[in-house]
Amino acid sequence: MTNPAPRPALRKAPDADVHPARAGDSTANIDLRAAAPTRPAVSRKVAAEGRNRAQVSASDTSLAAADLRATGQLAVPAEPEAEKAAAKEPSKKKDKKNKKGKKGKKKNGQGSARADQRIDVRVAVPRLARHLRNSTPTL
Amino acid sequence: MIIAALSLKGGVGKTSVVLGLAGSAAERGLRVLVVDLDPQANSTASLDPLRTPYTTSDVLYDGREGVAADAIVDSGWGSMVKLVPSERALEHRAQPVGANSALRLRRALSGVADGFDVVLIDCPPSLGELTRNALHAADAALVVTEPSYFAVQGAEQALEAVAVVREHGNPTLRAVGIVANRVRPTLSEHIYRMDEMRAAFGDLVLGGLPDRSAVQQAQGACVPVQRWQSHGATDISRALDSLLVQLVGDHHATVEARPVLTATPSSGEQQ
Repeated sequence: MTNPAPRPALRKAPDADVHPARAGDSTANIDLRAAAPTRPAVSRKVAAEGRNRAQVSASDTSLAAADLRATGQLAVPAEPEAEKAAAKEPSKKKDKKNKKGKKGKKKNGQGSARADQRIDVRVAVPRLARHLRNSTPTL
Repeated sequence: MIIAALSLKGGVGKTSVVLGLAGSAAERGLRVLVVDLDPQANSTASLDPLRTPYTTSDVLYDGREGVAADAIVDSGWGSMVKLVPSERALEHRAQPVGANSALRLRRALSGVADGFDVVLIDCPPSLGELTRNALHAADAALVVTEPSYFAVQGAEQALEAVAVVREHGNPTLRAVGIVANRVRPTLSEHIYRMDEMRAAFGDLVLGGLPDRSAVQQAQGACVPVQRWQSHGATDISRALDSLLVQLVGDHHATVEARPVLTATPSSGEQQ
């Protein structure tokens, strides 16, 4: 009589650190900076919608983006040019309305300082998540 | 016995019923395992485990025979109540994956449930992959509802789901009953809906659990409602004892008379 095979040890799911709101993404390794194209100056509202669409493109979501997989990092792109231009416009109008010399512009800190502002967020994707494609459980 | 507490409508008190039954069973010396299959992890929070190295997300991800044993941890309620905790990442398991995806929990619990007198599965408020896993793993389905129009409709849909799973994959599954939660017997709407349920579902209606704030108070304090010191806690504990007997039978749980508390109830307690 042979002893029964030992029970397998429970495996940890690799996506424990991936927020459920991203459960539908094809991959966690998306370089949002590279995916954001330059856009012409448009209204703030349209620019906001464009920014959301620009964050993911078909080519960049492919798992063939080996560099991104290797580094396991995500980066949120800088604010698109249109967004910055649109953000400036209301302020400019406001400045023109209330402008006395150059006081309004300097008061709000507009101008070159805003153009240089960018958001650069890096998120460390768990090591195991890079192998998500190869770790589909077999039943 | 593996009991899945389900409701297609959220907020009716599935977690409260699961926790209440767990506390009642533990008080009677039954070994209880709570499987938290809700990504909201409310049962997990109230059972207050010291450590959670694995969760139901890992169990369903793995899905192999008996692996759920590695995920069982002690709860803060004492040695008689153990837990397979949940986490928000369980949401990732809410989609079918491969063939027989709905059988993952059943396989993972294989041999594990034998070590407990009662296994209670707290389902999420939807008929998705997680609830399907629960129904394929369970022997009994307890539908939790409340005496309202939408909830009664949800109870009917839940019973239909139980019948479908029984026919297509789990012939041992049976609907053990419908319990109405947070019942206020003085409200005409509640009286009407309870009568409506009895007319529609007959003997399946196991009765109602009274609306008592002690339930939320005990959950917030991470203790069983049976240990909460108030008249409302005594009322709800008696009702839970009665429900437990109906579910697991007299040979497993004998309902003993509870002492009537003489202490003054805390402020805001409903009677």
